[in-house]
Amino acid sequence: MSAALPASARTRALLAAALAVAPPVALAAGASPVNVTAVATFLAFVAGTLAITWWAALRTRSRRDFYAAGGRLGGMRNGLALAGDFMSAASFLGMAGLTLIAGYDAIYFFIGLTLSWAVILLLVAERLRNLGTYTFADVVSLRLARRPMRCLAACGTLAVAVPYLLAQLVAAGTLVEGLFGIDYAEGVIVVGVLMTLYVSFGGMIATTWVQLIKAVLLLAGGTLLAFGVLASMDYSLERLAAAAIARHPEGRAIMMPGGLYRDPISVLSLSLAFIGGTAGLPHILMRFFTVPDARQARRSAAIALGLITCFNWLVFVIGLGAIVFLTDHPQHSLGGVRLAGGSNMAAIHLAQVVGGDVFLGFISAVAFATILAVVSGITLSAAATVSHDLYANVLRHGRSDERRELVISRAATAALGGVGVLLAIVFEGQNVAVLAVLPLVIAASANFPVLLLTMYWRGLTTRGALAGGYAGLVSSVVLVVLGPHVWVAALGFDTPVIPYAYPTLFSMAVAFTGCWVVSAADRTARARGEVAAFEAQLVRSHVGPDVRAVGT
Amino acid sequence: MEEIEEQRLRASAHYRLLAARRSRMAWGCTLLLLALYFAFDLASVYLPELLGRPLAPAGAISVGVFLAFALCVLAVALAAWYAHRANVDFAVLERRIREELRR
Repeated sequence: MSAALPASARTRALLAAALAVAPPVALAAGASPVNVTAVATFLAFVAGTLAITWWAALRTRSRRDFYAAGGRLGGMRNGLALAGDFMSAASFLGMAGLTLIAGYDAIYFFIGLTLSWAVILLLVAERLRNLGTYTFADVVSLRLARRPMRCLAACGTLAVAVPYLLAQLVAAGTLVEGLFGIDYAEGVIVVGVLMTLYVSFGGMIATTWVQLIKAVLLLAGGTLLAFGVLASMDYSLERLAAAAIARHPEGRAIMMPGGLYRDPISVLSLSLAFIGGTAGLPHILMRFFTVPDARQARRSAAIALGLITCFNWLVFVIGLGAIVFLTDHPQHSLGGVRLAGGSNMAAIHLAQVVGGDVFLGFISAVAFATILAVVSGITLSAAATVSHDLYANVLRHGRSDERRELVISRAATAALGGVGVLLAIVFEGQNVAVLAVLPLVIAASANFPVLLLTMYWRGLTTRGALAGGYAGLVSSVVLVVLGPHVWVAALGFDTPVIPYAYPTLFSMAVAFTGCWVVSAADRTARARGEVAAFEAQLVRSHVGPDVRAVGT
Repeated sequence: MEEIEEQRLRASAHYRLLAARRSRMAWGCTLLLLALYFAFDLASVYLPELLGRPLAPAGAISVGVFLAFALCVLAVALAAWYAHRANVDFAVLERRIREELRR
C-alpha cells in the first residue's frame, strides 16, 4: 500500500550539497560589499527550513501524506498555513512598493485580498471539503465526465502555476541580488534549485510546516517594521500620512485615486481577478483537503482572512513609511521614489533605515523564506496535477501505482522549476504585486467559473464546462500576453495590443457565457444524466462524509 | 446504499433547513460585500475628488482610505459572525441529521 519515499541517506546528501553550494555563491560577490549580518541570518534560516523538510520527509509514508498532510491538520494550523501560502513576497514586497509609488491605488489590492477570502469562506471552503479528496480536479469531475474534466482542471492548474511561480521568482532574484550583490539571474537559479529540492523530498507535510513557520515570521517581521515606522511618528497614522504627503513627489495625490489606474475596466477587472482568482487557485483549494471536516475548513478560512487583512494594512503602513524614509534617500533612492533594485525593494531598504543591519538581515531572511515556501506550495500543487490528474487518471485511466506517480511528480517539479527560472529572468524588474495578479486573472477565468457552476448550478454539463473553461483559459492567457505587462514590459513592444492592465472583465464573462450557452444547448443523454446527478452532489456538499459516516 | 442514504437525506426536514440556512447566510454576506466593493471601485474611478478629500478638515488621511479600511473590517466581522453562527447552528442540525441516519 504505502510506497516509501527514497532513502533518507540520499535526501541528506542532496540537502548537504545544496547548503554547500550557497556560501561560495555568496562569497563570489566581489564588487559590491556583502552584508555579513544579513547573509548569516539568511543562511541560518535556509538551513533551518531545509532541516524541517528533511525531518518531514522521514515521516512521509503514503501518497495521502504527500499530497494532503494525511488529512488531519487542525483548523488553526491550517488557517496559518493558508495565510502563509497566500501572504507571499508579492503581498509583502510588491504591495509595499506599490504604496510607495502610487499610494491610494494600492488599496484596491488590499480590499481585493480581504474580500477574496470572504468569498472563499462563504461560498467555497465548506462545500469543497465535503465533496473533495485531493485536488480541485476531483471536485469538478464528480458528476461530469471524468477524463475531459481532469484534463481541463490540469490545464487550468498549470496555466496558473507558471505565472505565479514567475512572480515569486522575480521577487527572489531581486532580493538575492540586493542581499548578496550577486547577479539577478544567479539568484533566480539558486531559488529554483532550493525550491525543487524542497518539494521533491518533503511533500505537503513539509510545505505545511514551512508555511506555518513562515506565516508567523512574516507577521512578526511585518509588525515590527510597521511599528518601527509608527514609533518614529508618535504612533499617529495621521502624522505618518501627513509626512508621506510632504515627502512624496506627487504630494496630496497619493491619498487620491488614479496613481495606477484611471479607467473603470482596469479597476473592475482587478477586483474580479482577486475575487474569482483566489478561489480558483488550485494550491489554495488543495489546502482545504488537509483538514478533517467542513467545520475546520470554515475555521481555517476565517483565520486566514483575519491574518491576511491585518497583514495587508501593516503593509500599507510600511509603504507609507517607505515614502517618508526612502524618498530621495542618498543610498537607496535613484531620485524621488525610484529605488535602487526597483519598487520591490521598498520594504527591504526601509528595514535597514529603520532597524539597521540586523533587522535588514531578519526581514530579508523572512522575505526569502516566504518566497521559497510559496513557490514550493505552487510547485507541489502543479506537480500533483501532472502526476495524479494528467498521468494517473487521464493517460493511465487510473491504473497506475503510487511509486510511478511520485516519480512523475518529481520530474514535473524539476521541469516547472526550470520554466519558472527562465521566465523570471525575462520579467526582471517588474513590480511583483502587479505580476502576481496575472495568474489570478487566469484562475478567475479558467478555474473559478467551472468550480462555482459545478457546485451551484444544476444545469452545467460536461460540454458546457469544457467550452466555458477552455474559452476562459485561452482568452485570459491571450489577453494577458497582449496586455501592457507582458507585451510591452517583458517582450519590449512599444504599445500594448490590449490597453487594459487586466482583462478579467472580458475573459471571465466569456467563461461564464460559454458554460451557460453550451450547457443549455446540450441535449445529449449524458447531459441529462449529469443534470440529474446534481441533486446527489448537492446533498454531499451540504452533509459531509464526517456526518454520514456514522449513519452507514 | 449511497442512493438510499441520499434519498433519506433529501426527505429530511433538518437537511433542508441546513441547506437553506447555509445558502441564505453565505449568499447574503457575499452579495453585500461584493456590492460594496464594486461601489467603492466605481466611486474611486468616477468621484476621485470626493474620495480623495481629507477625512478631517486639513487632515492627511483621505475619505477613500478610511472607507477601504472600514470595508475590510466589515468583511472580517461578517466572516467571524458567519463562522460563529455556522459552528453553533449547523452543528446542531448536523447532529440531528446524524441521528436520523443512524435510525
